[in-house]
Amino acid sequence: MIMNPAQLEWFKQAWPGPLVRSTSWFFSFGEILHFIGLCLLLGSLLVIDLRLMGFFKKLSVRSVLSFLPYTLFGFLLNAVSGWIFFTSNPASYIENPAFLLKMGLIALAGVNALAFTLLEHRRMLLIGPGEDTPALSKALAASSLLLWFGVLLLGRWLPIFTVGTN
Amino acid sequence: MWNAMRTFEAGDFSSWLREGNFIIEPFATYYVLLGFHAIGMAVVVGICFMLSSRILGFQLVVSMAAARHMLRLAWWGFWLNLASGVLLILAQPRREFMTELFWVKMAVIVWAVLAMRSMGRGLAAVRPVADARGGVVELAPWSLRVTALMVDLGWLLAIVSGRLVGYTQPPPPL
Repeated sequence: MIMNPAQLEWFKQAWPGPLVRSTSWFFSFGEILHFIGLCLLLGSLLVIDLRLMGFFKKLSVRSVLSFLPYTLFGFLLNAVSGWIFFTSNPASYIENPAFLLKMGLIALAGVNALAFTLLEHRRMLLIGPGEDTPALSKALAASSLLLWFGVLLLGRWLPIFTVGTN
Repeated sequence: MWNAMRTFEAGDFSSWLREGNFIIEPFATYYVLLGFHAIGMAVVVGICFMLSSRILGFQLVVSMAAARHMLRLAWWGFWLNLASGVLLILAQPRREFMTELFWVKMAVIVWAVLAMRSMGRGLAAVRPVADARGGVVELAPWSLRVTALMVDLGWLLAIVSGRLVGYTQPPPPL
């Protein structure tokens, strides 16, 4: 068990957990936010990462990086709506291996983004239309897409691994 | 028609879609299809959001030629969504057809797809014009901006109705 009962109870009582459990609409409202967030996150990342991987070469890397605010906003929406889900029934999430793996992949995607920011971002701003990107950027972009699509799939597969806990 | 659907649902293919496993346990076919459906949605809706942002004038550095390439990728997402969506319907056609919001979702998807086609034609028609600093800029006309907003609205409503379908479905018919 990753959390003790007292910690689980704290998350269960944290806002908006009690509200989600006492209403019929709040959870589905969270799902709508989560889906909009993932469209913004993955839509913008697809454009950015595919350009870094060598597609859409008519675009400069700087121009595709102008979509980054959508990535961050999408992630914020997903984090907020994810918190809504988690506080609704923390025990069922914490015991779900797909949820734990999903959180692990999100952490890895964060490390991947940090590596790109520290190692490649400044260099990438100079890559103009038609120019190729270095191998490291391509590898980081490909792993970013793989990790985020893995996160999406695991999110949809949570019910497969759900343990009946309340 | 109803009886034909009942017979189809009792058959091996529909039962496999609804209750079977995709290659290995515990990957239920239905949830694997839901996964592909979500990937398709993220691609088509996400790319359309980015295109609309460009058309509305937020990413002027992105050329219209590149935007047309992005739209092609969005269509790939749509075809994946369509294929997985049809299979999801075939898993329980009577239950889906009995759900009122399912028809709302279908209607707004048709709306979004027609608007996407119109957006594609609009993107091809944009011509570069000189800007005040002596450079060139590709500005979308108002009609294309309205079309882009219609695309976004259509997909947003499809997401909302799609999410709510699960909560308003009647129990599986006998």
